Amino acid sequence: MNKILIVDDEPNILMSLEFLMRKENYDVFVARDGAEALDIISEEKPDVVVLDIMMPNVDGYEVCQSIKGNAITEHIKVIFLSARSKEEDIKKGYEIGADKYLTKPFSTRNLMKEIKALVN
Amino acid sequence: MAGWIIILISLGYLGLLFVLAHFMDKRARVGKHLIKYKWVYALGIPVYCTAWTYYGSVGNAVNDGWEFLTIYIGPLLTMPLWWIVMRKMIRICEVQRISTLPDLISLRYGKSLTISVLSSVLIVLGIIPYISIQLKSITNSYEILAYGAYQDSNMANLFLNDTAFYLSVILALFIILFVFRSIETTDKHFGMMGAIAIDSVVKLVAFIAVGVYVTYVLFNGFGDIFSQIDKETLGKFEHLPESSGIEWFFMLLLSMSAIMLLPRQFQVTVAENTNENHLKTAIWVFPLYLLLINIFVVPIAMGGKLLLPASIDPDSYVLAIPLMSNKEGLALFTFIGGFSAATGMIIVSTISLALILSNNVIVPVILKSLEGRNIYSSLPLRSRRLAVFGILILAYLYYKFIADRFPLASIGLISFAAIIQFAPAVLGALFWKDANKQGAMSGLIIGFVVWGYTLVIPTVIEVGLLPESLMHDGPFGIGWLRPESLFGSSLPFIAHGTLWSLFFNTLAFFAASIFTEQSGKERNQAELYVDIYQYSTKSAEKLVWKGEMVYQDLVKLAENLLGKDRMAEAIDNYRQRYGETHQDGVVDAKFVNYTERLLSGAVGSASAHLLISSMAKEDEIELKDVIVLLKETSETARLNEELQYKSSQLRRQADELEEANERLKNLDKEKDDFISTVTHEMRTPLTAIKAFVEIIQDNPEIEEQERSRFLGTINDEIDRMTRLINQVLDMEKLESGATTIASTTISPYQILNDSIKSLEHLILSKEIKLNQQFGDDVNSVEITGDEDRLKQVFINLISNAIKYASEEQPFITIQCETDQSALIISITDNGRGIKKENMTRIFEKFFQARDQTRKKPKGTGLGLSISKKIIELHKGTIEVTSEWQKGSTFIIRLPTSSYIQAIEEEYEQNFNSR
Repeated sequence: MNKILIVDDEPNILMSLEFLMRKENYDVFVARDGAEALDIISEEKPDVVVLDIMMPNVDGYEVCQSIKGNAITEHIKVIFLSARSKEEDIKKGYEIGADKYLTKPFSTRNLMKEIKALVN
Repeated sequence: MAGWIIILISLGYLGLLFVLAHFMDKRARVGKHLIKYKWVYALGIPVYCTAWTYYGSVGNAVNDGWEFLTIYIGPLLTMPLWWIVMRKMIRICEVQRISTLPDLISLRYGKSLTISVLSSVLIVLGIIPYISIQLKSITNSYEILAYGAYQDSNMANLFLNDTAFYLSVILALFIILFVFRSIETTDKHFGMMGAIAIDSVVKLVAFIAVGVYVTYVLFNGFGDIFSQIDKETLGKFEHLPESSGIEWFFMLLLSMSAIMLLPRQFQVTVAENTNENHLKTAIWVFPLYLLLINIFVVPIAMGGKLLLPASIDPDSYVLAIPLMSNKEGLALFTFIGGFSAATGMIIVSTISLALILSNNVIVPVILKSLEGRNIYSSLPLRSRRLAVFGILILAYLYYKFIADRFPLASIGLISFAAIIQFAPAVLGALFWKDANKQGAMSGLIIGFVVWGYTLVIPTVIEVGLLPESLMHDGPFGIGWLRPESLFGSSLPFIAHGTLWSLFFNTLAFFAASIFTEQSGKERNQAELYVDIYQYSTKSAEKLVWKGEMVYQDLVKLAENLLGKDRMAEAIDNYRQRYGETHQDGVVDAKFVNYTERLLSGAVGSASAHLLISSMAKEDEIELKDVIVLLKETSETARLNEELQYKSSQLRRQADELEEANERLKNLDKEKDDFISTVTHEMRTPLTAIKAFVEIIQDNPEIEEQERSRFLGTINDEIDRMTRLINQVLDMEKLESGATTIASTTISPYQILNDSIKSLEHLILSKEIKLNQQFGDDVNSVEITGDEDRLKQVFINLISNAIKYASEEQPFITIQCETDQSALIISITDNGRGIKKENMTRIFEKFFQARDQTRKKPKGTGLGLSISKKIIELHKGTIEVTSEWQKGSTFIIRLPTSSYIQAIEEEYEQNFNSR
């Protein structure tokens, strides 16, 4: 069973994504900010991290950098889910190693397809 | 006593004085004054008390009773004016870098070289006799001490065999060696001030020593002397002669102007001042000094009269009494006291006159003739030294040929009468904007002509250099032109000369000022002088100089005069204090001013200004030009004043416009940021809505209960978006001014109560403890404003308090009180509080202290900024205090209608009364 970590500070978004992932039989973890996310990543080594960018304490960019900058975790796939839709934001996301960047609001169907592609 | 001992001791005293002065100077330059400079400054001012005071007062008391007091009462009468007149002079001189009286006059009257040279020459002419009588007093006292009486002044003794000549040379050498040793970058002479302060103490102690000796050793106190003195002398002190009213009046007038305008007084009081507050010390120290030095004048006068033979000149009683009783030590100390009084005066006067001649005559005239060619660096120093010798030689010659035949006091008064000629021009410069160059020139010239004719010519006649017929019959036999009784007036000598010279002077000054036009340049300076306090605090630096100049040119000029090393040091200083200099390009006004100040120390402000302006085109201050132009066409001073006021308004408006422009630019950027933030904030609820809609679409099989939970969430997120849209629109309306708030009379207390009621159910449901503290009189407080808007604010703040109050034991306090001027409402919760770094940002749009809202429903991030805006529209304030983990308090101050009305009325009154 693939492990998926969802990181977002919006409870309702977390709730919807959690529902979708469980339905697809993923092993789901949730975090409400970057610091919490980093703890779970080092403990659980999820296969995919679905990551919001603008969060308190440690932001999404930093979480991604920490994942991709560490040999033990660099294989973890990262999907950014962000309300930041400017071109430079997206470019930055890919530059620091994201595997996918989706802008909010996104299609859940598309998201699930992307995750499926990444874990296979 | 042997002459050589006296000379040796005098030289020793001078040497000691200068060594001490040199030491004080060195310390002062590094900012470590040996004693507080305010005391040195205050003790410098008694340089007013010269040998004339020391020896002459007693002589004057013997001959004319109380009259000797007039020259001290005059200065005392001016004391209350010092804070007004002297402080203004000091401020002007500081701002304009003025170090001499001719500078003060010429800068005010069109920066004219003519008037600068004219006033310098007149001052020197007026003061030379005064220096000469100091030479006379030293020589006389020396001769009394050495030979028991003065020797007849003998022309065969001229120069080489004459004590006075050697004295002049020695003093000149001392001044050159100790004061004009090198060119300095400051116009303060701490060493000289130190020497003068020591002199002041020495002469006071010496005089009091003689006084005590006479009163308490030779006699048994004041009463004893008064009971022994003969009727005639006593009579002089019992009642004043009838004619004395006029005499006293003019004496007072003369000494009043002398204490403020004599070159040496100007030097110590104005030029050497480093801090206006030092005047406060001087204002009590100087009168006290005058009192002390005068206590024993009458006892010494009477004692001398009682003890000494009638053949002895009363001017020498001070010295003759100790000599008579064979107290050689006391006599020598007395001599040193008189010596210090005279040398102090000679030194300061010569220095100030040499500065005047060098700065205002020699250097500028040579500069003009050089026409921009390089000035050689030794010029200022040489011209000062030359001036020192010139002045002392002239004083010596005057002493030899004229002064030796007159009592000390009368020559001194002739100098005083010369100095009072400057009073109209100087007072006009300080207080009358319409005074002009023509007025100052004609007043000075006419005043000095009449002064020379009525006061100097008679003395020249008396020594036989002019025919006596002039005195008796008038020039060409015209009787009403006789020098001592112009227009047939019969007055005492000094009163007569002062009256007519000052009368014609003042008349010419006013007439010429009123009937001729002022130039634009003068108008500028007039504004700067008269309103100096206004300008000096704000933009004096900018006003003094505006223009362009290249760094290299300026530095080269300064190096030429000051030397490379000193200039390099000065530039270092500048950098430390003000930051970088613009090495490669055009320098700013601050650096130009700094350099001009350095040069002023070396060549005086007139020449420094000339040098600087020869290098660059100086822009006049444009606004003033406009006024001048309009003044010339319209003529009326009233209109002029109005224009000035209007133009200052215009300037203010221009400033405001610029500010508004800047604000607009910022606003534009703010707007961009705002839009991008708003769209960002909208994406979040949209994301949740879309996700749940898709879930419900794609999963028809989910349970009814879960489905309705998801639909509920969709509904919440739609509400959140609606709220956001509404608040964004609200904010926009408030900010753009599209909605104006209603202005009805409302009671904020009532509104607060309503707001609390409408939230009561929420408070109850959350089991929050609510504590309400309302003052007694808050119910009656009324303000002008918008009920709905205020309610919006109160509800927003109370809702926040509910939202953020501690979860375990929620507690909210709402307070309301009044302090007459405003109603103060504070709303406190016991939640997590706000971190210090976020306190100032909490009212910013979309600023949410994110770590607070982790488990709370998110707001829009606009509530507080809208609240703040609304409170501001009610002319109130809102602020927050908070302690992390303890809770926050929001405090609103709403000014009452009556308070706002009172403020507005007051403002209007001020506005109208301008």
